[in-house]
Amino acid sequence: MTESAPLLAVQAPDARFDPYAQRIEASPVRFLYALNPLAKLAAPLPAMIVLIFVRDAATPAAFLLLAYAVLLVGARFTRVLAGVLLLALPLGALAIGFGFSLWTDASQVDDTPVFWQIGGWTLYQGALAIGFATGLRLAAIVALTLIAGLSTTGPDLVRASVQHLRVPYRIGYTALAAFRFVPRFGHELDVIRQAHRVRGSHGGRGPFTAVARWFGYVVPLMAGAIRHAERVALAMDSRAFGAYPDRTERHLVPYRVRDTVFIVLFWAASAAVLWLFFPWGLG
Amino acid sequence: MSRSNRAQVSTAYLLTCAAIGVAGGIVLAAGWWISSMLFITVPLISVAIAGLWLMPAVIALRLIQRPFAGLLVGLISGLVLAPFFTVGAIGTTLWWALFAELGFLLVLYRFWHTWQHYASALIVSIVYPIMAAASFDLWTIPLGMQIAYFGVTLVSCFAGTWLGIVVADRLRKAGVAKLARRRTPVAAAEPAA
Amino acid sequence: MPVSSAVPLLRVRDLGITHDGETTRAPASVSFDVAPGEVVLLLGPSGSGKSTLSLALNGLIPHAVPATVTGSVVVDGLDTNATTVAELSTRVGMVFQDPDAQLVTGTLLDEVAFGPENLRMPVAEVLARAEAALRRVGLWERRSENPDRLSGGGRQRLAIACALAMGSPLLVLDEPTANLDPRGIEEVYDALAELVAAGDRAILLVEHNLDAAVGFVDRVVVLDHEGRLAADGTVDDVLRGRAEELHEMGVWLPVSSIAALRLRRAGYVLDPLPLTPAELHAALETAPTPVPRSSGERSETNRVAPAPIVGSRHFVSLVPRSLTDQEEASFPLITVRDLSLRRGRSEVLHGIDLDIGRGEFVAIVGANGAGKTSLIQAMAGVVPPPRGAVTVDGIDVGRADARTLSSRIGFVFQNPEHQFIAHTVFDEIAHGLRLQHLPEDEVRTRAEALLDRFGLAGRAESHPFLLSGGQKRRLSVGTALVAGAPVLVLDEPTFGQDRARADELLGLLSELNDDGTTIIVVTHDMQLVTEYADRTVVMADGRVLVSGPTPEVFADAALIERAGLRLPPLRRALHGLQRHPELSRIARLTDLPDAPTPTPSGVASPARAGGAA
Ligand SMILES: Nc1ncnc2c1ncn2[C@@H]1O[C@H](COP(=O)(O)OP(=O)(O)OP(=O)(O)O)[C@@H](O)[C@H]1O
Ligand SMILES: Nc1ncnc2c1ncn2[C@@H]1O[C@H](COP(=O)(O)OP(=O)(O)OP(=O)(O)O)[C@@H](O)[C@H]1O
Ligand SMILES: [Mg+2]
Ligand SMILES: [Mg+2]
Repeated sequence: MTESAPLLAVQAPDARFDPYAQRIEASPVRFLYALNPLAKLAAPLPAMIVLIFVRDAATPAAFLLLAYAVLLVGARFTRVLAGVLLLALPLGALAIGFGFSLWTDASQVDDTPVFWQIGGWTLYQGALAIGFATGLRLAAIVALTLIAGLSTTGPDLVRASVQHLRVPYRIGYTALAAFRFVPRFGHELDVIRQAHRVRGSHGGRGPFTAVARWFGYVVPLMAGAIRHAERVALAMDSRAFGAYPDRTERHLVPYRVRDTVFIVLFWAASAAVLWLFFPWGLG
Repeated sequence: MSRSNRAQVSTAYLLTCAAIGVAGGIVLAAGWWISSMLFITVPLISVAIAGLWLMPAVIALRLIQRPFAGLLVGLISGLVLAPFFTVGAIGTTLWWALFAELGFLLVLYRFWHTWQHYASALIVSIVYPIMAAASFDLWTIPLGMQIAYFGVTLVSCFAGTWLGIVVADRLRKAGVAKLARRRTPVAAAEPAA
Repeated sequence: MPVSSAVPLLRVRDLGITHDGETTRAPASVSFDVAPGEVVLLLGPSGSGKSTLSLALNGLIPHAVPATVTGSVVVDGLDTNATTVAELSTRVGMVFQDPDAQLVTGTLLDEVAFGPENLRMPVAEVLARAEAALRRVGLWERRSENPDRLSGGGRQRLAIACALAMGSPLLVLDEPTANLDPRGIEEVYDALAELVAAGDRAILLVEHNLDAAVGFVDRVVVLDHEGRLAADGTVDDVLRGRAEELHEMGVWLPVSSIAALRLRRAGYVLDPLPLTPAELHAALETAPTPVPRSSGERSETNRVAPAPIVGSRHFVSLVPRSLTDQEEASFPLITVRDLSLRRGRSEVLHGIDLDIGRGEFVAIVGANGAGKTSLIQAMAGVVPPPRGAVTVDGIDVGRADARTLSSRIGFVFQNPEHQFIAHTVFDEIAHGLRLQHLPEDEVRTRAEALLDRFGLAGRAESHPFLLSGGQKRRLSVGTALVAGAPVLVLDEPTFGQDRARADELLGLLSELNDDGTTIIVVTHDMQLVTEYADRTVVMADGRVLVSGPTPEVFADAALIERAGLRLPPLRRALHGLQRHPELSRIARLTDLPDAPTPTPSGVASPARAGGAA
C-alpha cells in the first residue's frame, strides 16, 4: 500500500480523459473517493430494491434528495457531475413522466380531475401522477447508482472484488484486460466504418440500411477483437498468469471502519425514509 | 497429453470472452442510447431491441461452446457500460446473459444444440415482460398494448438470438477463436479448405 | 549440429507441429540446441513455422494453442510437454511481435511486476526485479507512466523488460520490430545489444529485418520452405558462407549482403561477404577497382545476384515512364492547398500544400505520429477534409459523396481485414463491380481476371479471413482497384509482412503504376522507398518537411535525421566512399553496377540512374 500510493497519484493528470483512469485526486471533504467501492455499492442497494416496488412520488423524491446530497458533498463537483445531476436526470425524469402519463390506461384514472383535453382525448391528473411517480422512481434509482458510479474506477472495483469478495483473480484480471480493450476496439470500430465507407458499401438511408450497415461491422470488429484477445492471452500465459491460486497484490483496496460506518449510516437513513413514507402508495 | 495445472479454464477462454464482451458492450452502448430515447418517447417500442441484449452472450456460447461463456461475456459488457450507464448496467447485462445461458445450464452443458438457444429466448421473452411490467408499472396500460408488449418482446428475443447465431457462425467460418473453442475430434481433422 | 561444450539450455529434437485444421507440419522435424548465453537467429521463408516453433519453446504449444506435436523440446532439463507454461515461464521469456498485445496493466512498473507477482514473490523481490529490468532497457525513469504513452519502440522495450523480470535464462523474440519506425527499431536493438553485452541470457531471435539484427548474432538456424532444418552454424558459416544458397531458398539477406553479391558479380572483391552497411563500406574502401571481366568462379554468383527487392517487370518498364513524367507533372491529379485537419481536440495537420501528378509513384515517410495516415485519409476522403482543401481529378473531396470518391481514389487500409465485407474472396472483388450495376456475367469475368492477376484464383471460394497475410494484402489492393480508380493510396502496405511479400506487393504496384495508376504509399521501409518511389514526401509533426524526387530527398542526411528517420542501408553503406566515387551516390540496388553482360536490366538501370539523379 505504502509504495503503491505515490505511483497512482502520478496517473491523475490524465484522469479527465479516461473513464477507466486509475484514481481520482480530490480533497478530503470529497469522502466518496476514500471509500471502498464495495461499500458504495452495498449502501444504496436496499433502497434501490425497495424503490422498484414503490408507487408513490414522495418516497422516490426523498431518495433522490438523499442521493443528491451525498453526491454533491462527497464527489468532486465536475462538469460531468453538474451535467448529470442538474440536466440529464431532471430532464430524463420529466420526459419519462410525460411519456408514461400519455400511455397510462385512461379507464383506471377517469375519476381524477381532467388536466388536458384535446378533442376526444383526455389527460387525467391521475395519469400525470402515475407518470411522474415513475419518472421520479427511475431517476432515484439512477441517482443512487451514481454514488458508486461517479466516484469509482473500474480497476478499483475489480481489485476490491478480488480482495474482499473472493472473486478469482483470473476473472478480475480478465476484467482489467477488458478495460484496456475498450479504447482500442472503439478506435478499431471507427476504422472499420471508414473502410466500409471507402468500399462504397453503404448505399441509401433509412433505418433498415443503417441496421444492415451496423451488422456488417460486427463480424470484422469481433474477429479483430478476438484475435487481439488471443495474443494478449498468450502473452499473459508466458508471464506465468494463473501459476498459483493467488498472486502477490501490490495495490490494496482496503475495507476500513469508515466503510462500515458509511453503510450503516446510509441504511439507517434509508430505513428512516421508508418508515416515514410507508406504505409508499401501495396501500 | 496437455497437462495444464488443475482443471482451470484457459486464459485464452477468459480473454476471448472479454473481447466479445467489450465488442458487444460497444455495440450495446449504441443500442442503449436508442432504447433510452425510445423509452422516453414510446416506452413500448423500447422492448423491440430487447433481443440486442441477448446477442453478445449468444455469440459467445455459440462460438466457444464452453460453460459460463455467456455469463462472463455479460459481466464484461456490463463492466464496460458501467462508466457510462452506471453500475446498474452490470446487473442488466448479467441478467440477460443468464437467460441466454439457461438453455445450456439446465442440461448441465452436456450437449450444445441450436434449439437450446431458442429455448432460452422463449424463457426470457416470458419472464422479462412480467418483471419489466412490475418495475415500470405497465399494468396500468390498456390490455391490447400489454399483449403487443409481450409479442414484441418475443419477436425481438428470437431475432436477437438468431442474429447472434449468424454472427457466431460467420466468425467460426472465418477461423476465429480457435484457442478458446471447445476442441472436438472433428476440428483436428477439418481440411484446410 | 554443433555440440557445444556447455550443457544446452534448450534442446529441440525432431520437432514437428501441425496446427488443428492444417494438414502439413510447419516446422517439420527440426533439431537444434541453444547453449547458455548464446544469441541465435532463426531464419526461414514465411510460413516455414518460425512463430509456431517459438510458441513451442515455452509450452504454449501444445498447452494453450491446439496443435499436434511430434518430437521433443527440453528446456533446462524440463520436457515442455509435461511442464506447465507457468513453470516454463521462469526458464523462457517471450517477446511477441505486437507490442500492444502484450500490455495488461496501467503503468510501466505494474506491467513489469505482473510476471513476478504471478509467481507469488514477496513485494520487495517483485520491486527489485522490476527495477532491475526497467533500468536495463532504460525505462526506469518513466515507470509511473501509462504504457500507452510510450512510442512503439518504447513499448517493445517494455515487453523485453517484462520478459527479463521473469528471470529466465532464455529470451525468445518473434519479430520484435515488425511495425516500428526506424527510430523505434533502433531503440529495441540498442536494448538488445546491451543485453547481449552483459552475456547472461541466451537469445533466440526471429527476424526478417536482418540489417539491424545481424550485428550481434552468434549462430544462425535456418528453416526451409517445408519447415525442415536447412542450416545451423555460425554467422560466418551460414550467412557469409552460404549466402547464395539461402538466397535461392527465399531467405532474406541483409541489404548490404544483397548489394555485395551484386557488386561481386560486377567484379568487386568482397571477401568475406559484408553483412552490415559499415562492413560493406569498409570492405569497399579496401577493395580494388574491379577488373572488367569476372572470373569463372564468380559465374556461380551470377545466377542468384539479381536483387530480389526489384521485380524484373519493374525494370523493363522504367524507361518509357520517365519520359512521360514531365508532360503530366504540369497537370497535377491531386492538389492539396492549405490543408489543416483536426482530430479529437487537437490539430494534427497544419497548412499542408502538396501536388501529385498523374502517374506518379509517391512515398510518404515520417516518424510514428507524424500525420502520414491523417494526410492520406484526408486526400482520399476517408476523413472529410475542409471544403476546397483537396481536389482529386477535378473533384472537391470535401464535398464529394462516398461513391464518387471510390471511383476516383482507392484506399487500402493498414489492416486488410478491416476492409473485407463479403464472405468469399470472389464476392469481395465482385462487390465493387456490382455497385456499378454491371451485368452478372461481366462481373464474373472481370472478377476472375483480377483474381487471376493477383494469384488468388485458387482461393476464390475461401473466406477472406482465412488467407495468408500476403494474400489478404493483395486482395485488399484488388478490392480498391476494381472500381477502376486512377489513384491508389496504401497505408503501410508492408506492415507485418516479411520482405518477400512486401516485395511481391511492390512489384505489383509498380506494374499498376506502369499501366498509368497513380500510387501513393505510406511506409517505414526506407530501402523500399528508395527502390520504388519517384517522389518522396517527408512529414514531421503534421507538416510536410520536404517533397521532391526521392534521390534528392535522401541526399539531405541532416533533414532525414531531423524527421526522425534513417537513411536506407545501402545509402549508409555507400555514402562518402573514398575509393569508389562512382558508387558513392548510389542508393538503389538496381543502380549498382551489374555483371558486364548486356542484359535488359543492364540497359535499363543506367538509363534510370541518369534520369533520377
Ligand atoms: N493458429 C493457427 N491455426 C492454424 N494454422 C496456423 C496457425 N498459426 C500458423 N498456422 C500455419 O502454420 C504454418 C506456419 O506458420 P508460422 O506463423 O509459424 O510461420 P512463420 O515462419 O512464423 O511465418 P512468418 O514469417 O510469416 O511469420 C503456416 O502454414 C500457417 O498458416
Ligand atoms: N482518431 C484520432 N483522434 C485523435 N487523434 C488522432 C486520431 N488519429 C490520429 N490522431 C493523432 O494524430 C497524429 C497523427 O497521427 P497519424 O496516424 O496521422 O500519424 P502517422 O504518421 O500515420 O503515424 P504512424 O507511423 O504511427 O502510423 C498523432 O499524434 C495521433 O495521435
Ligand atoms: Mg511468424
Ligand atoms: Mg499511420
